[in-house]
Amino acid sequence: MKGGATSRVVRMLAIAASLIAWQLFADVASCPLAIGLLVLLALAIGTAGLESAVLRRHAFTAQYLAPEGRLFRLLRPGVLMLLRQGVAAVLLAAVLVLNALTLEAWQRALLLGDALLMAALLGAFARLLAGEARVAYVAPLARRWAVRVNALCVWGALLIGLLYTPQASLAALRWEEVISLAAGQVHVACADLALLARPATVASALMLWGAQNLFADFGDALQTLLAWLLFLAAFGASFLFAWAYSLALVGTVSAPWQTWREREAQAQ
Amino acid sequence: MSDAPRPVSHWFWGGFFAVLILGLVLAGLAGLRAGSHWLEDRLGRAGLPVPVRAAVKVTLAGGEALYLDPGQLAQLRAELQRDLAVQGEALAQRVREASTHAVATAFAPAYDRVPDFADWYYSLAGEYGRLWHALAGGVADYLAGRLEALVIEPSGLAQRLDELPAELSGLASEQTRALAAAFEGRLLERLRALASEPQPVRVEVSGEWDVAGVAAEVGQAVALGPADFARQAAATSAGAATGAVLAKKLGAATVAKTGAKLAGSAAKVGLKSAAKMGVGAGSAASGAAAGAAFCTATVAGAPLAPACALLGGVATGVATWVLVDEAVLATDEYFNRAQFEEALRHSLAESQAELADAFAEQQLRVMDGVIDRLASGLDALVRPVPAPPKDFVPVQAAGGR
Repeated sequence: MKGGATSRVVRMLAIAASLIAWQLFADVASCPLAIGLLVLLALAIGTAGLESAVLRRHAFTAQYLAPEGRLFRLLRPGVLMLLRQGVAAVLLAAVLVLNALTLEAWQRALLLGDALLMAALLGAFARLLAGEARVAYVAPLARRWAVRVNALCVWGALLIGLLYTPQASLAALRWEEVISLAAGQVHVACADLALLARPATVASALMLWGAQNLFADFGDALQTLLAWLLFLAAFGASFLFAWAYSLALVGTVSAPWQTWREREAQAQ
Repeated sequence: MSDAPRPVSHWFWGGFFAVLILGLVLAGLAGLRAGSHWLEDRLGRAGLPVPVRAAVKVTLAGGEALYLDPGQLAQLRAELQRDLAVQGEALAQRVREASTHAVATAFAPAYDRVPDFADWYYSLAGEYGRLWHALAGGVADYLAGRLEALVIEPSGLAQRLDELPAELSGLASEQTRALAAAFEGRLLERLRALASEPQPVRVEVSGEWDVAGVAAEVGQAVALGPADFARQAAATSAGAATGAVLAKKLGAATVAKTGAKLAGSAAKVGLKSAAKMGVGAGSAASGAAAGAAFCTATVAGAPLAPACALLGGVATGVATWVLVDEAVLATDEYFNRAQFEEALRHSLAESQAELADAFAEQQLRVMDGVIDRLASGLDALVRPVPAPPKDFVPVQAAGGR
């Protein structure tokens, strides 16, 4: 696995710290700084995503496709894979940056703690897979599984926290007031990112408002179901956040070029 | 992990991926910005409400709502503050003029009394009074006292100075209220003009501004009581004193300003005294001889001849002294009185100007405070939308614990 254990933890803590710093200073951070953070996170997420994609693509092209086919020739250089992973990384980085704006103290602590959990998971999966997978693929597979498990852990923790944490009571407000309130809570100095952040915050607040209104007036099972769906939708972004955060953490220790080189070596 | 050098192609793809990420981020943000501008432009051309990034809800009197984006609001504030600064300057000029005029009116009778002071100054009583106080010390106070008694008190200046602060405060208060009312009028006029423009889509309201509250803010800002002026009066020499005290100060100040002239007069007094001493000594000796001749010429007076001669000599000496002194004073008055009166009037005019400035400063301090409150109040008027209480716990709301 790339780098020592301490180095890995420090790199992952740096991701958590940069998100916390972004939340604390978003109201004064200039656009170049904000975009720089977005690019940095997208690179980390993209690196992690690329590693998994190289593994999948390697299996797909080596095992399923005929070398003389057009699809093989199209997929083999990897440009499409890079493009797809790049787009996904930018979108997930945006989710991370926008959601980080509304972090509460316990969520910040969760992010820092999760960096340590991720380091532990990486070590544990590396040991588990040591005798099971080929040596060249132990580390990439360990990272892939660590991302999945860690994302579930973070999402679960976020959901439990959100269920038990007091939220703003929006039920008494009109929907226009909810929009006013949510839009007014976004304080981002970079106008371009504020343009993204406001609709996201407003949409989340409107879903919470809808859920609260339905909770306040339980009529029948259908209404209850709708309330829960709206409520989960309001917190649905937390899964994307957990996934993106896990990828960003792992991205700091990923090495897709090694997997790539292994594939090239096998191809030859 | 292999130590073999990484093929260049991997570095190339790594760099390509980094540039790709950067390009995607920048393209995404540029697309977002362009889309936002395009939408605003299209909606504007179609006469539809233009969406804005953030808006402050302004409630006009009567409940009519108006939405301003922060840029418009900042522009409106800047315009009003500039306007307020210009109006404040004009108001300060008017207050200075009113103060100058009021103080000049109060001082006018005092100028008519200057000849009375000159009469006393060029009298024997005045001369001997100054001589006595020159010997005893405190001639300046004595002159100030006489100036007060002969010029300031008879002209009713002290009483007028007592009335001036209230009169000027009333005027300043009235002017300030007019300024505040004009400010409020301009604010509402500008807001109505903005309300006639296409209104933005009502999303993203970040603050509220109830214009009905402006009247109260303005009213509070211009509620000037006597205490406000009294506080400021304490800070200025003019306002801190009663008319009588001020008149006394004015006498001293005028005497101080006429100092050169009076000093010149004092020097002349000294010269005259020396001349009179010489004349007096000679006349006393000749008077004594004349007295002795007169006393010995009578039989009855023969035994008392020495005492008679002494008394006669002194009386004749004193009479001669007075006559000489009066003649010197008359000569001095003939040559210097017009210049002396002019110097005195000039000093009074200087004191008058200083007093007018001090009164104006006293009013302006209070008014500057009002203008500052109005200007800074513009920033404080916009209140953020109040946040609802954070007491919704999803688990409890769903009936679980």
